[in-house]
Amino acid sequence: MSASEIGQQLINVLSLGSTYALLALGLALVFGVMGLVNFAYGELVTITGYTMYLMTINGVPWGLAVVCGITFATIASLLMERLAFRPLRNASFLTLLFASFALSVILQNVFRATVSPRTKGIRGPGLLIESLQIGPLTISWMSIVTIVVGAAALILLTLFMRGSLAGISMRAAAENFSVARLMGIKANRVIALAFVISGLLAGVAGVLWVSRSGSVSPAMGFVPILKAFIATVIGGLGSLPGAVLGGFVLAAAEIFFIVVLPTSVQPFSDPFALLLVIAILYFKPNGLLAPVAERV
Amino acid sequence: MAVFARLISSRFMRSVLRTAVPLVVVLVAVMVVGAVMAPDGRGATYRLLVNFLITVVIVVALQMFTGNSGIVSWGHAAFVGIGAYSTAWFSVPMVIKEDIFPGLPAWMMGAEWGLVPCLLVSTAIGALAAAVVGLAICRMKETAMAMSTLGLLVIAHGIYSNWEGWTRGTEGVYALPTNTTIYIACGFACLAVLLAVMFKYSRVGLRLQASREDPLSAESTGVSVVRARYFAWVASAAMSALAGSLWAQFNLAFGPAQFYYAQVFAILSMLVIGGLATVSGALVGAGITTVIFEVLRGVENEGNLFGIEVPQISGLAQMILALITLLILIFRPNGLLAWWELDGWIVKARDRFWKGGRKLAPDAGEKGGE
Repeated sequence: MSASEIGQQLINVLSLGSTYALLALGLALVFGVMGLVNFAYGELVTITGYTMYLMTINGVPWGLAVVCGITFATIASLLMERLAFRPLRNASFLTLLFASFALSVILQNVFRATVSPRTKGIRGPGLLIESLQIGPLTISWMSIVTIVVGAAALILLTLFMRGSLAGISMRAAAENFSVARLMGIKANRVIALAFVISGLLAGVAGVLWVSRSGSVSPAMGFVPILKAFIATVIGGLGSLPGAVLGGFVLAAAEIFFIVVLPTSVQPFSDPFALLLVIAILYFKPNGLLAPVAERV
Repeated sequence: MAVFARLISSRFMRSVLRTAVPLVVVLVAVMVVGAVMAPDGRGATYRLLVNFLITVVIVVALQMFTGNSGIVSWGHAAFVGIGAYSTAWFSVPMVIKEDIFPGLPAWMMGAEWGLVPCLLVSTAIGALAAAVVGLAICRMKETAMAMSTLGLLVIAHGIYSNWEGWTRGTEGVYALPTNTTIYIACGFACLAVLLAVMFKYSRVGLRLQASREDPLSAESTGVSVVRARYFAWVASAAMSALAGSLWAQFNLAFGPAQFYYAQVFAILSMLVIGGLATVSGALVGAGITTVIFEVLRGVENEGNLFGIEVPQISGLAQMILALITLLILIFRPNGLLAWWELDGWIVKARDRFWKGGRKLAPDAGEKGGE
């Protein structure tokens, strides 16, 4: 493999990895503050997709549709917390997981009943399909936009988490919820905030996801939540840097198998990537960057 | 003979029978209804009842693992699939097999086995697969385990959809022989219930329940959590594969989509609605869910609710089932039956009726309230 091919694939890893990292971060944030692996998180991506679909077919400009898509995902995330998860505060990991799984199925069927059970095409701005020639590398604008948006979101989130009082209290809550409350952090507020940020991240990742795939369907949330779940577990559930790292590791594994495997076994590249992930977990059962303190 | 008599009269066996007998009675009653209503073994009701009995095996198998260990498994549908596909490899007539499974080796190509050998080989293949996968999965932390079983489901789905020579990909398999009757389905449902109850009251089962309540404390009192999980994992996967084989020999044609997200959700809902901790809960949940699904499917496909016309809504059955599951989790988080098996509820009801509400002491091996 030549150097330029390696460079090409590195760009793919960065672009796919930053999408995964955004998704994983949103999931990890909520897990951090309330011990919930939110399975309905994938449906936030779907909500973004459908908002954009319904707006663009009605002639709303792309930019506005993007903003509305992200806003709706955020609102939906907050509503989820209010309606479904607040009554389950302090429930066990298993109960919360089941509840979010049920919520995800409810939402999927709402989309099926109200919009359409079929896959719908969605057209983004023409620029995203074109690509840029830099020396020997051909880079699509989609990848560039994804990497830039991903990097910007990660930097902003880091600044927010480290610099602002709200961010610091959220990190404290993720570290140890009871002690954080003793320090005067309001439980409801910090959990709601986690859901808002998680919704924002899902919205941003959703825009990228939909622009890449060019279609929306009721069950489309399954793949994003699966990737996010895997990424957070590889990184160590509860660790935010771990979630980002996990996203990039997963993307690297997927691209690696797509490149390495011969065409005849190409359909098995995803299973292979998952096997590799399970192998990683075999040697590091708590993930790569597991939090030091055990959640009690 | 004397050993057998001693086993039957042992305390362990007495508790097992006390729990299992009411469940077996329910299952046999279902069978009798089916046999009386459709003596020729045809018709929608007969199909419904047989599929219900097979579903009981699937849900009870999952209860054995998830109920006792407290770890969710998305992967069990994959083992049901393993059972179904291996049954197809050994039972589809050779003429058709050459067409749909061109990749099979010659000795498998010729196999046109009957019910029992197919069940045995499917269970064995399922157990073997679980034994290999379990080596990695059972060592993990609870959350990583949940993720890995989801990964397992996706891997299995990828294999079923793409391994053309052995599975015919997404086009699916057909032409399996009809071997599963309502009697056979009922027999295996009873066996599954009996085994699950025995497991629950057995030493390994109790250790696993201890690890469910608190893995660290269990470990510190000398329980090998990993070993207990591994045992339950392999046993319940083998039972799932057996159910898959029964299912395949009744439904005769299937594809990879039959062992995926929608099915996993249905099985998990059954478990949650009835209650994770009990075998009876699995059975009750399977029953309730089957009824709900059957009624709502009428609405979904024909716009017909008990003869009244209502608008058709796609995905309605799944949506309502999910809503019920969510409400149960919020208002009755331990499921309808909570910590008591059916026999416990019978005693409870009897005591309330005769003695005006005496408190029931929880059984050995069960958690007595919070």
